[in-house]
Parts: sequence; C-alpha cells; structure tokens
Amino acid sequence: MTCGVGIIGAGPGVAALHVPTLARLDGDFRIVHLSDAGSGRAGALAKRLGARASEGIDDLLADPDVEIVAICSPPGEHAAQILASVAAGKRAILCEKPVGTTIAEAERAVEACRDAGIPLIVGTNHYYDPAWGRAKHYLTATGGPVVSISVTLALPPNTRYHDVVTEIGAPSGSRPAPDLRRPEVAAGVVRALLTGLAIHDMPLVRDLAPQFERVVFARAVAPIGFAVGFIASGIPVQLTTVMLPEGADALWRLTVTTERDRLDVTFPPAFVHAGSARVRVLAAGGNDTAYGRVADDGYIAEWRALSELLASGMPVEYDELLDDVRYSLRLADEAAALVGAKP
Amino acid sequence: MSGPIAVHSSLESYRVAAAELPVSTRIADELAGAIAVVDGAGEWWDAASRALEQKAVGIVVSRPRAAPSDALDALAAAAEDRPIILERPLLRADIEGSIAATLEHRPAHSALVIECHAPSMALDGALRDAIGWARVLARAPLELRSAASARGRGLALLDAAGGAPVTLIFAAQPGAPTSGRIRVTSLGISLVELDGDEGDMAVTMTDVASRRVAPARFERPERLALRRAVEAVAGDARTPDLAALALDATLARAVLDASSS
Repeated sequence: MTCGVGIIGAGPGVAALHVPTLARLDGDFRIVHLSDAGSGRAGALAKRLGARASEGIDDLLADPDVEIVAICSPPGEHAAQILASVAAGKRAILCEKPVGTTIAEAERAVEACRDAGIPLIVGTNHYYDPAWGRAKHYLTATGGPVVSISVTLALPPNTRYHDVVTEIGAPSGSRPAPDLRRPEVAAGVVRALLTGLAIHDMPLVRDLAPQFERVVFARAVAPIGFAVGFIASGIPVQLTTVMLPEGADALWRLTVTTERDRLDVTFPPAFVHAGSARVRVLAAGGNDTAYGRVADDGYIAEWRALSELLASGMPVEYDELLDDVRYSLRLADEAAALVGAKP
Repeated sequence: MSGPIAVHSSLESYRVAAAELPVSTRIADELAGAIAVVDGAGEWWDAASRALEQKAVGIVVSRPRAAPSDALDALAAAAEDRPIILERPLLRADIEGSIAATLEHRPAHSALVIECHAPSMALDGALRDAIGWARVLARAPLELRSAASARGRGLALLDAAGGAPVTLIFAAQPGAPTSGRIRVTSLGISLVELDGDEGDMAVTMTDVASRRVAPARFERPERLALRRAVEAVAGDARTPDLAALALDATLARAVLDASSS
C-alpha cells in the first residue's frame, strides 16, 4: 500500500535527497504535498511531482492525503514540527537530524510520539546503512573489546553531489568564512557541525561507547571544521572534520579498533546513491578483508525502516532515539563550551 | 668514494644488508674507520658513543628504543660531524623524502589525523614514529595542547606551526602487527595518507582529478639505513635523524604521560 508523504521544507536537501530517494521507493511512498517557509521552492518541486504545495505547515498537516510527515526544515524547527505532526494525528514521522536543538525540546518531541504511538525515524542515515549492520555484526561476533574510535571527514562542497542527483541547483556562491578567531563564533561553528554533521555517526559511536564521560579537546578548524576528542565508556573517540572549498572527493570514514582488529567503514558522499558504505577489516594475523557494497544506501534504508515499522507494528525504540540525541547534544554543548571559553 | 666502506656489525640483518651493497661496503672486524651498526634494543646510545670513541666514521642504529634526551644530546655532541642514521620501524627515510618533495608543491593542510595502535611493548615506538610522520606532513615541529590517556589508550590535540590542528588517537592493541600500525591522514585540498605497518606502508595522494598510490618499497630497511650511512660518510653530510628522533620521542612521551585528571 502506498503512503502519502508530506515534506516540510523544500531546500536543496529535499530536491537532491528525499525526492530522488522516494522515487526509488515508488509503490511504498508517494509525495503528495510539499511546503516551504515562503521561498516558493515547494511549488516548483510539487508541480513536477503532481503534488500540492503550501507555505508554512498548517495546510500540509491538514491535508488528509498526508499520512507521513518528513521534516526537512532547519533544525531549530524540528521539535515543534514533530509536536504539530503528532497533534495533527499523522501516522508516522521521518525527521532529519537533530530531533531538537536542546535536550529538553528533543525529549518533549520524542515523548509526544511515544504517547501517541506514532513511529518516528530520525534521518541519521549512516545508522541505517546496511554496511553498518554488517560491521556491527562483525564486531559483536569476533571483534573483541573496542579500544578506540575515529571519525574522519574531508568534504568538498555539496554542490558537486547535488549536481549528479538533481537539476535543481543549490544556492550558488559561497558564504564568507566565519571568523574563527572569535571564540563565540568558533563555538557556534563547532556546535552546528557536531549537531549537523557528526550527528550522522553518533548513534554508531554510542552503540560502541554508550557512556559519555567528557570532552578532552575541541577546536574549530579553518576554513570550516572541527577537531573534537572525547572519552566514552573509557574509549577515546576523535572526530576530525574539514569542509573544503574544492579538492578531492569526500572522505567520510568511521574507524573502530578493537583489541584484535581495525575496521573501517567508509561511507559514500552525501546525497548520492552509490550503494552502502564499504567495510574493510584488518584482522589480527594479517588478514585484510574488504566487504563489497550492497545496493541500498542509508537514505533508502531509513525510509524502508519506516515502511517496515508501519507494516509490522513493531514498537519504536524511543529510548534509543532519546539517548542518541542526549549523547549528541551533550557532546555538542560541552565541546562548544570548551571552544567558547578559550581566550 | 675510493673503495668500499667498512661496516662493523654483529647484527645478521646488517651483514645481509652489506652483502646487498657489495660495491660500497665490506664487512670489517675493526671499528676504527668503519660504520658501526648498533642494536637499538639496549642502551644503544652508550654503544654508539663507545663506537665513536673507537673512531667509527658513522653510526647506524637498528630500531632504536626510547632514549633519555640528555643521552641523545651527548651522543649528538660526541658524533660531531659523523653521521648517525636511525632505522625507525615505521618511519622510512625514503618515503619521508618522497613525501616531503611532493608536499613542496601542495597547499597546506587544514588538519592532520593520527591513528596509532600497537602491542603494549611497542606502543611508545609506534607513537613516536606516528608523530614523526605528522611532523613530516605538517612540515613543522608539533606541540602538545591537550591530552588524556589511561590504561594504554588515549587521545591528544597537537598543534603544527600555523595553528593547523593534529588530532591523535592511540591504544595498545594486542592484535596489531609487532611494531604497530599507524595511519596519518592530511586533510586539505589534497588528501595525503600513510597507512600501514613495518612491512607495508601505503601512501596515497588524492586530489580533485586523481588518486595516486606511491610505489611499494622493496629495499630492506637495513639496506636503506646502511646505504644512507654510506652516502652520508662519503658526502661528509650531517643527518637529521637524531634531532628528529629527539623531537618525536619527547612529544610521544608527553602524550603518554598526560594524566587523565
């Protein structure tokens, strides 16, 4: 049975990500309504999809054909829009990360879903990437205790990948580089990137190192990026991210080292549909094993997960969602505080 | 060079290396006038000093373990202009040279990432060599900004001149190769990455147009060290090995000593 989807937000992420992703899942989902905050982009997208368009969220939530709400608006609006979607009686919600920008508002949003029995999927696509399932299985079965975790990102501009999945361009022109010499600016950059980029991998990190302890170092990196090190469950975790104005293709790699092995999970660039991440294991004894990609990527898998929740009636792990967001926001807050405190 | 240079070594691997340099070296029993090969497992700085007193013309240290900084200073002073070559398990001089040459034409990086894992007994040396690679890629000495370690694992933030951060994670890993495994990644317009262990260090350079993999090095590390020593003796060249080791070892020790408090 095909479910009608209403998408709140019509920015480049929707045009380049959710519209092409849902086209791959035709039969399960159909976009019936898009809304924007006044940019007019929803109308342009909706026209070619044969969907309705509106401004704000009221018309979309009142639309009886909208069974599932996809929240793809700026992060500061996510929690309130989850609450509104629940109040409107929608069947399910897929919310881009983060669920909220504070722990309190995230808790209110998730608890509202729990109370109403509404399935909620958060768009941390790496968690749903089939390669992560394989890697987690390997770690559980044979890997031994984890001794360190490293997440390394070097990202060229998103437009490079938008251009291969859509013809609707992202806003052109680069923003002026933030003045990272100002502690408050640097702190804001670090927090925004931790809640916007690093959050993709935090459910994976939390799976392996669930007890957040403390931030050891945090720094903004020019032109835009961050270097953060923290301890969780006694395991050192380092996150190093740089967003570059040009250069090599995206490097997005999660490395888990156990007492025996090193396991690299290398994700494809954002937006593209190039299959799952690649997994490579360097094992004690010298075996070097590369696991092939499977066709589904994390974007498709997160929508499939929502479909399965609806079909099966399986309970949603709301507590896991809450713990993920608490972990991520605590990390972001403590790292930003450390950066902002520097003279 | 007028003839083969004498090599004094009790290490079989260096006698083999000399056999692979049949024109430029010959094995000798006497130290005077010879390149002395010293086993780095013991108090190698004392052995090297004794060889220098006995008129060795150069020193090769095989796989040097950690040394007191004052001993390194004393050894450097004793050597005067005589070369001291160090065979570091995870930091090959030939790869270092080719990377340094490549980096001359590339823009500075935005950040460096070090990952270092080794069995407990080898962690000091692996960390020292990993930091050495970061120094090479950063093209500047590094300074420690903050660190935390406990139970043989930890992380640190280092600074290169110019302020680009270097993040470091390390841990004792029983399953790692004997001398450890390191990966150092330079994040910038070009990505440069070293990844491997003592026998197999892969070097890749990726930019917008291509990905290059540096060729494998088939010269044994002992032959490389001995050949460098021969070239340095013949050319009356001073070598940077000892000073670089001192820098890297001091920083590695500081990282390892960092308290979790």
